[in-house]
Amino acid sequence: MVGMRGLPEERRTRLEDLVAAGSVVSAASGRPVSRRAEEHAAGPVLPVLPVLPGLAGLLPEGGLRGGGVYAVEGSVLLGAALLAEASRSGRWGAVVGLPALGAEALAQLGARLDRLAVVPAPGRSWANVVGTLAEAVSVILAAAPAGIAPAEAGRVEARLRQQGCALVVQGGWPRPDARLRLARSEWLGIGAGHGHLGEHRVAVAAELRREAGRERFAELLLPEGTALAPVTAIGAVAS
Amino acid sequence: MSMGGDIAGHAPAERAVVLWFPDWPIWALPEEARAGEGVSLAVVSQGRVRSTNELARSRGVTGGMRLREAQGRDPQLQLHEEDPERDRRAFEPVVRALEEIASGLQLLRPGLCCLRANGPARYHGGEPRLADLLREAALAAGTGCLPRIGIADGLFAAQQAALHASPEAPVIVPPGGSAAFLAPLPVGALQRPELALLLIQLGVRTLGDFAALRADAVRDRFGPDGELARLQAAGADPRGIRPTPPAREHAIEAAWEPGLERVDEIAFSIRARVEQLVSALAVEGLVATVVELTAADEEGGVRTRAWRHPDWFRANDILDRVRWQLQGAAPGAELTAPLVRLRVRVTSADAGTSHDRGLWGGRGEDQVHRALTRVQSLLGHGAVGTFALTGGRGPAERQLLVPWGEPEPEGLRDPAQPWPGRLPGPAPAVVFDPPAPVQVRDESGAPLTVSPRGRLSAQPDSFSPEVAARPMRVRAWAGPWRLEQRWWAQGEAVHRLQLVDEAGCGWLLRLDASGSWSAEGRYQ
Repeated sequence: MVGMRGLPEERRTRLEDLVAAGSVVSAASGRPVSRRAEEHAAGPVLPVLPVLPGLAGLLPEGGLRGGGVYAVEGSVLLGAALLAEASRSGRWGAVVGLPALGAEALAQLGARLDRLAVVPAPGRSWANVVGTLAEAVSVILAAAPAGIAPAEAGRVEARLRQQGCALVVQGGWPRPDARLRLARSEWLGIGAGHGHLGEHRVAVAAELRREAGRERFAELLLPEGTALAPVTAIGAVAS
Repeated sequence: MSMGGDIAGHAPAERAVVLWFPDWPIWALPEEARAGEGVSLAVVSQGRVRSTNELARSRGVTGGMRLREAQGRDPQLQLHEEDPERDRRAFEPVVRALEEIASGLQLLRPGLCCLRANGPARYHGGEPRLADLLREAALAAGTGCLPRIGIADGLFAAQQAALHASPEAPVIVPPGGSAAFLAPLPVGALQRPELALLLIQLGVRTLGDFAALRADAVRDRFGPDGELARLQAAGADPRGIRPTPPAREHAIEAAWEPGLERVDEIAFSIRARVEQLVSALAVEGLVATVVELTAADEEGGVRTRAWRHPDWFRANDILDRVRWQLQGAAPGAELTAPLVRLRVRVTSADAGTSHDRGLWGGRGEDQVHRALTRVQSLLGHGAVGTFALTGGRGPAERQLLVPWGEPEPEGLRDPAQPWPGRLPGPAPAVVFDPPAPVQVRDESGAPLTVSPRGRLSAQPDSFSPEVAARPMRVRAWAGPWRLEQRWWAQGEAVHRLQLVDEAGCGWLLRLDASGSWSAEGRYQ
């Protein structure tokens, strides 16, 4: 893990150590706290932000972890979909470096445009802008700067963790918590010269950092966000 | 539950004094413009007469009249452009003189002000005596304009009383008598022309008739403003009197010889004085909400711009506005000519207490505001904003970025309306502005065209999202839809087409009049 500074991270680490040592005991049940419960206990420190129901099964916490980085390859729609539910829940969000993002599509996904700060062209101040926004908003959707150096990525991650802000990054990132891609995209309502683009069915694949070599798949409808099938996993966890 | 004409549940209206100085914009004109007998005067704006003096009125010139008609009636009419700032400045001495008699004056507009009657009347020995003292004070201010004074329960009734007063005698409506005083007045007195028109159509002609309507019926039919109007008509105006903080001039001016060329240098050299300006306001319990910056350069160019802050201006915020105004759109750009003079004037200030929590509500909102303002200082005013949706045919027309701190522009069109050319279904996630050139070909590899009758030349077979990119199979398509663009040169049509490429990605394409295809949007 890179640069664990700042109080919240230290608290979390200590808790992890204690869980590993089996010395944290759940007050309610008297049994040692499971790994899942540890994440839950860390909740107030690093909050979990809701995502569209059809995406929740892809992520171990069922949402975006505050301080987490999620890399989306290719699809702008998928990045916007990851941000949408947190925004709908009333949290402030930000969009950085995506000048061509469709505002209407964001709104259709459920994002609240009045609580979404938009910085279309951060230029060379990318890391500074993302770091500043992280102090105030809960989730940021940003186009990754081309070839970001691991050291700089580490500094951005440290600031995100300090502030409990999740980053959905469009493009490459050295070591994201998860890499997501649009595995399949199908359109209903359109044929050979008739109808129009209507229902959009997508399959999203997610590769988690802690489940390397294994991919989870979710099928959902966009922009509605409803799940079409239970989440499946393919491949074995490298341990 | 509700009885006809009830005003239950409302506190009795506050006893109010209103002073009205008729034709104030005329009295605010400089002495030399007003001097001389037999001069007819009019203050005008946007081609219409706003106010006139007695002589002009006697020659048939009235407020609201078109300029040409006014000049036709009175060829000697002297015209002066309206200047709200001049009106305000000229009213200052009057306000100060009146405050000698009674403090807590509320300025409604230059030439119209009000105050609470109870305290001062008790102090000076009755309402008639208070009115006399106020009139004498106004006279002593030396403007020559005598106020009409009205005293009644509630601001609205006192205002109507002032309109009925003469320069010599105030109109004092006894306590509890406002409803009866207002009842015979026409509904036009409410100063809400649309409401008055509706009421007259319903056969409700006087304030008394209006006051007698059921409260809930008025609320349902005319909304909250109608409800307020009904309470006013009933002599139960719920608006309290809020003293206006004394308006002192808050401004700084810096001059340089020779002029300064670098924006940073300019900002640095005025920093200390801007900080003084902000703390001088703070001493009076005020914060600046609008500042006006006037910059004059060596070549005689003068640019003035008002900047509104969503919250309130700290010293750094003002310095940012200085930078933005001088730099224009491009950060880091040099000035076109050295700056010789810069004036920062606070044009609107507010009581600091109402801003303690910020206009944005809780602490979280305040944090957002601070962070976004910092990003603005870094990248420029227009570089941070929020999306607003508006009506339009193409996806790029349907959205705009409103710079942080500015209100949404007025007149946004309703995005939900069925705009011609707008397609149902999901909106594109990526909007190309301007549209990005693409290629669409038929099976033989020939570029696809659309006939004048709106038919595709063949079935679309391959698609290249960039002109040089490897062509992809077209999996499905819909359209073409003809799109008449208002601004299109010869009224030529453009066409829209949706297609799905071999990867399942949806596209919104357009064919322009020159026969080239471009992408307006991508759906993922």
